[in-house]
Amino acid sequence: MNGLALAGLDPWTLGRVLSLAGFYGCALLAMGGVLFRFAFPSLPARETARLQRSILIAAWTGIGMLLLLWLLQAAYLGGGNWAAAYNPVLLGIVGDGAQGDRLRLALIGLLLLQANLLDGQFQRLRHGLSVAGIGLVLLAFAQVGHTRGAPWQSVLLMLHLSLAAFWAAALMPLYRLARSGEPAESARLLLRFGSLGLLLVPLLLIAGGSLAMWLLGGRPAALIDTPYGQLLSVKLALVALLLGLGAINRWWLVPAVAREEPKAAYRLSRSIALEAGLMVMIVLMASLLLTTSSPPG
Amino acid sequence: MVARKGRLAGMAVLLVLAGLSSQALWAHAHVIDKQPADGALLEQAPEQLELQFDAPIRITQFDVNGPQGQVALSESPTGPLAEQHAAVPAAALDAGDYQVVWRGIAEDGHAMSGEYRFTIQE
Repeated sequence: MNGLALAGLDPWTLGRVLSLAGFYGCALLAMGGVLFRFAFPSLPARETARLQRSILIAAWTGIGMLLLLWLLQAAYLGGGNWAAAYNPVLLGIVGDGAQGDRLRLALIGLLLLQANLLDGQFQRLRHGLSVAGIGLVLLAFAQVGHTRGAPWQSVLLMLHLSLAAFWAAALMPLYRLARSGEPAESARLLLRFGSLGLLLVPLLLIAGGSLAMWLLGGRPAALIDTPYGQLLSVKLALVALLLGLGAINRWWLVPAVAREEPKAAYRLSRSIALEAGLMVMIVLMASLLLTTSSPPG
Repeated sequence: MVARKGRLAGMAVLLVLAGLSSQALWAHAHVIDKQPADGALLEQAPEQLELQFDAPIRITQFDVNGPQGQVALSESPTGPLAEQHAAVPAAALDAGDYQVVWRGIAEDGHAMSGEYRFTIQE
């Protein structure tokens, strides 16, 4: 295997994987938080305030991760040293290309989507700006890798990520709702999320599955006989576990909370926490795939 | 309800077709040739070292290490976006084992690296 197929996890590669995962995770939470506010406008005031705070933290941490990633890319390209991280030529090379496009679009998008957090007049303008911000961040994701210059695949990736963002950002408020001690209100919102999930999950799978097939060159055996496919298989296994947990919540635990069964809320909150853990692993795996591996397709 | 399900199914089919139909315009780059080749046993010192890719990339690091340490290059491949890159040693290479280490970034933003070795016989 040459260095193109799997670059190996030297400390600089590990740093790039973690900072990319940090950016992905934070951008998904920031975008998803705004989408969740649109979908659930009648959240309790306390939850709305918490959600707004988490959007703000996620957006600015995402920006920090993006800038760190820029430095780490330059450091890696210069042979793996801190001097290269501040080398203007290397920073310029990273900034000029696809990664620079991603950085600029994501930066503007993460700033714009915070318009959703402002109060007062011009609600339509604020909503418009935050939706435009989400669009720019999604477009940023499509700038690096195989989707660059492939419009249909970019649309699929953007759809896949927007649905994943909504799901990821929903977990924290749903977790708190499950533990709120107000089963009637919790069950109402949880059931609504479950109904949305019936549309969200098939679309998520279709978009993600189509992208995966395209990246594998339409050859499912590449999941086993190529390094990229093997890493992708691990990600798909994690997704399957996540879907299993989602199904348990949707058809078993949430109805149990609605019926106010003892311990149902506790079990649901544990299941949601597990979902969050799986999502962290999926984001890490996606970053590893993007950083170290090259699709066969 | 039936019409809604039909629309959803239609959208799903369109998405799948879209995913499978179009071609990537900026594929990852791959090395397709190296001169000297990896593991080559040479009778004469090469005048230049070449890397050929199947898509344009920018080389950002190209280090050649031999029996005398790092080799000075009169022409470095770092900088331009190209499919073919060549490095010219500043002086004729001595006999011994050499290792080439390179890094670069493809047009699609994918950072890449590689290394290979060759030997110049006495």
